[in-house]
Amino acid sequence: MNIILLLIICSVSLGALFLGIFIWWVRSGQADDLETPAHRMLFEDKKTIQKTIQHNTAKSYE
Amino acid sequence: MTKPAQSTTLTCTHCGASAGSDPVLSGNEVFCCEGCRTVYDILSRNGLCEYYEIDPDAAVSLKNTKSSNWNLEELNLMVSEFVISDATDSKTVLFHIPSMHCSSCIWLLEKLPDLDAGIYYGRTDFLKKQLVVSYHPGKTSFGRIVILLRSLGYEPSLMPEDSGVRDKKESRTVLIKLGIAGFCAGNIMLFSFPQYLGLNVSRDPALLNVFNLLNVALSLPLVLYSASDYFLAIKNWIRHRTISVKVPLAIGIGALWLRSLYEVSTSAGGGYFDSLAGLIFFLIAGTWLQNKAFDALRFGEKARKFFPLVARTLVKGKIIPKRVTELVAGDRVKLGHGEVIPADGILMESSALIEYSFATGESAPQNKVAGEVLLGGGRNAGAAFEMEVIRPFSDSRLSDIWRSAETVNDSEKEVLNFEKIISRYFIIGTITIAIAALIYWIPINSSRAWFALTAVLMVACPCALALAPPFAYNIVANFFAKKGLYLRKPEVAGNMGATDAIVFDKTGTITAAGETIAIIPETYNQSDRRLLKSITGQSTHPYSRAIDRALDEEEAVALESYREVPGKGISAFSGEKEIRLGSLEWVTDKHSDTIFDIKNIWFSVNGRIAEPIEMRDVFRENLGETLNGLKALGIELVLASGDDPVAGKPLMKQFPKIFSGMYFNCSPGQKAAIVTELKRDHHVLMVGDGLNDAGALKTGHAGMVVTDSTSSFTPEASAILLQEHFNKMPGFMRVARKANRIVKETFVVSLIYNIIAVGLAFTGMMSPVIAAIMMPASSVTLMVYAALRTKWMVKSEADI
Repeated sequence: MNIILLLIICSVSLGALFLGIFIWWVRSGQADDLETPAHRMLFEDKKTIQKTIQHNTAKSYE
Repeated sequence: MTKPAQSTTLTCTHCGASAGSDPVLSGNEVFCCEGCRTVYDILSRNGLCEYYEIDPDAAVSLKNTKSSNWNLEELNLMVSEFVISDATDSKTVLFHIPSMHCSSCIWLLEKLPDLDAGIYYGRTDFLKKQLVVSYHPGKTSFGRIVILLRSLGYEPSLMPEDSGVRDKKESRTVLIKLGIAGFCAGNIMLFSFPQYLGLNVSRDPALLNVFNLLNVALSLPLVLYSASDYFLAIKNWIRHRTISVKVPLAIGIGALWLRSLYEVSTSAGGGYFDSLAGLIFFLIAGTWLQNKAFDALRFGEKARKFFPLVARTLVKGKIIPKRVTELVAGDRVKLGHGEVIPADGILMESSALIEYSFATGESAPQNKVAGEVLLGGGRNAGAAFEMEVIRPFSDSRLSDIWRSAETVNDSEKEVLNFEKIISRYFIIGTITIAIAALIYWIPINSSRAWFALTAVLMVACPCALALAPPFAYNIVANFFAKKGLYLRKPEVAGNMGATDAIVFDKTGTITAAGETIAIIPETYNQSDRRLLKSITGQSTHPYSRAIDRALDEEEAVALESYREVPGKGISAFSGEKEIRLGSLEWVTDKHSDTIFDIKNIWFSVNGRIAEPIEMRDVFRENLGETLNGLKALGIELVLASGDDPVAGKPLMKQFPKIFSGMYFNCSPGQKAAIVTELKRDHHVLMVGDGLNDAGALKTGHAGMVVTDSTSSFTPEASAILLQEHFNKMPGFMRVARKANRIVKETFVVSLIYNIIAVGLAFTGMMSPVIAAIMMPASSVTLMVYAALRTKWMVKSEADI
């Protein structure tokens, strides 16, 4: 009896913890867009070297 | 790093299209136009050429993209329409970018900080085609960002959007409700398990109590939070008399819950928490799925989207941009070609050419002379002119159209009639039976009386109403979406199935939008054709453009003293030859009282008048077949056009006896009146395309918009049909009808089930086990029946 109660408390609180995480996940906006991150994660950050060429371009095409 | 140019034909380094006969060269690279060169320049200077590698088809040619010509100052005035959060050192704006289409777009748009140091970040939402940009208002400005996006080929739509913020909140709430329902349902089922298996818990009654109490505790958030929408429906029913399927469901949920609480509190049994939890979870899951499927489509764009945000006013000869809503009487406004008149005013130029097709459906431009009143909503189809505002924006006709289009209430429109009727009878029926059971049993056995009352309310399941139609219509809606018809809500399919009369708009709906073809008579010799080509090449009038298109291969010759008189025609000299093109009056120099036949354009060389050129609307492909197909389904067809009756002649000639009614020169209000009239004894579907149909689209039982792409302007409607799929209309109507039949079948099955279950419940002897089996069994059977039947039906109609 006692051990079952302990197990129930464990399982329910573990579940509640995950529910809490789920609610936080939704509230923080991570669930709003499930499509774009799937594309975004495939981009590589390899072009940092070339960026040294210049920085002032933002002005030049106004 | 760059795309290899093919050796035979030169292709544009940016967009990959053929660079044509007049390529733009820059270093070793070839471009098809200046726009493409600029984008490539910006990207290569910033080391962002990876753009071309992520998706080879990323770049869009800038050659034919029409971009707005607002300047920096004007753009900066628009910022308030787009801001979603505002602080002194950071502003966040939300754009809608119609041209976003692939991974490369996401990549580049999120690299905006590399291109403008004032931008903190750019975040895209690919499905919704949205871009959120956060920037430092001191270091850059809204206008600069728009100009940067424009130069990259990602011009945002500069129309006021309903910001996505509210939708987001709603979809998050549904997801949280679903999460909580899932958690509660899962645990409740776990704690109900010992009872299913009949484990000998009597040895340990305390443990059974613990399980029951846990179930009660878990049911609280489930019923009070997750299912709160259903109880709100009861409130609406009492207050506003609006009935929906949610009402009988709420009564069922309520009865189930109270009975379970009672059983647990009196230790009479374990209640029906598991059935309750399952039901609520499936209901919310259904709602969530429906919301999700239609995220990418933009429905219900307000008529306001069509209005300009900023007008160019003239103050002491200088152009000063001003927000349209701030225009007052007396302001001078300058309007360029193609711009929309922002408020009612008086023309200050000697003449102007105004086209009101968006507001009235009349496609031929009207000629206005100095001093005439110009109503807001018209588009300048000729040269730039000045006007003086006589009424501020809020009183002008443009905002009138907008208001009339928005006031029609459609809160209940999507709910089917028979569904409403059945909901009402269902509630009345179950409550009557429940009370009858109570009255019958009270003198005999009072405890059994209450037992019977709740049992009737509990097992009388409206699941056929709540679950079968969404499943059936969802399948149909997904099938339609694959075929190019997008429904605002799946229930619209049911509405379409009930349709027995369709009202069509003409321009843009059954004729291709903005396309007129010129039929050049065969008597024209080559020199005539060349002259014609040269003279129309200089004019922007839609008919000139049509003639120009018809003479695509001709070569132009040099012209002198070109003159264009709006509303009359154009003239020019080629050497000694005087050529004229326009109305008969213009060509002959004689005043005539005959009505100007807008569909015939006259042409003369040195006074020799040639055969007139006929202007024809382009009908949609297979129009006759499509209309006949609809007629074969027994649907009455009516035409309501804002156009001149002259324009309807070819239609009558080609498709006689198809339309049971044809109305011309209809104002937006008249179109809505035609639909209202038909609604008396028909279920009406309105099919239209423009702002002038907005009222009628909302008046009909359902409204369908025909559009060239999902990103262009569409008035608020219940369905969007891509124009290339117009000929599938009869198929869509047929499938929708079949879906309705399936839904009705489930109603019959559900009725049989309810008669048996309620009969058992009435005796007050229904055992908890039978109740526990019957409740979920009926929901699942009906759901599966509706889903499978619809799936098979759709499969058999796969090639409509």
